[in-house]
Amino acid sequence: MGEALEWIGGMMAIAGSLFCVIGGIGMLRLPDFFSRTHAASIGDSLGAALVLLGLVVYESAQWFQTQESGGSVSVIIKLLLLLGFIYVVSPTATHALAKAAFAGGVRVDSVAAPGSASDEAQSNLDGQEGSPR
Amino acid sequence: MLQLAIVGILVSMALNLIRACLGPSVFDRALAANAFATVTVLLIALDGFVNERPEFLDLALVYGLLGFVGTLAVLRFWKYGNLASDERPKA
Repeated sequence: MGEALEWIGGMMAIAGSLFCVIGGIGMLRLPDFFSRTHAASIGDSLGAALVLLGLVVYESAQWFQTQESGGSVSVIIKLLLLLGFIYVVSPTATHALAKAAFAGGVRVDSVAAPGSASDEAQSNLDGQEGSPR
Repeated sequence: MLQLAIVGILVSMALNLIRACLGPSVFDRALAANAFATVTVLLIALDGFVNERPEFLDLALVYGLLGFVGTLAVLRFWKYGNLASDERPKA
C-alpha cells in the first residue's frame, strides 16, 4: 500500500514536471507575448498542481511504511498552502503582466493576415513597440 | 522517481531562462521570470523531498512570495521609472 502510494506520487510529480517542460517549450516557441502567457499558465496550473499533489501523496505514503515516524501533517499542510498560494498569485501576476503589456503597446495582429507577413518580422515589430525605455 | 521530476523541472527552468534572455520586450522577460519563479518553487519542494528534509517547504513558500513581489516590482518600475512614486495609474 505504501509503496503503491509512493509510486503514484512519484508518477504525478513526473507528469507535472513534463507539463512544466511543455510550458517551457511553448514559452520558447510561441510567436508573440499574449500566446506566451498561455504557455506560462500551463506550467503554473497543471504542472504545479500535479507536482505538489504528487508530493502530498508521496508524503502520506509514509504512514503505511514506518510505525513511529510517519508522514507529518504539517508538511502536507505546507504543500497545500503552497498550492493555494501559487493558484492565487500566478494568475494575478499574469493578468497584471498582460494588462501592462497591452497598455504598453504590445498588440496581436497576426490574426488579421495569417501567412502574409512573416512571423519573424511580426515579432520584431512587437518587440520594438513594447521595448523598455 | 522524484529525481526524474527534478530533471524535467530543470529542463523547464532552462527553457524559461532562454526566453528571459532572448525575449524581445520587457514583458516577455517579466513573464519568463515569473514562470521561472514558479518552477523554482517546485524545484525547492522536490529537492527537500529528495534529501529527506521537508523543512525546505518553508523556503519554497518564501521564494514564491518573493517571486510575486519581484514581478510586480518590475512592472511598477517599468511604468513609473522608480519604485517610490506616489502617483496613481490613470485608468
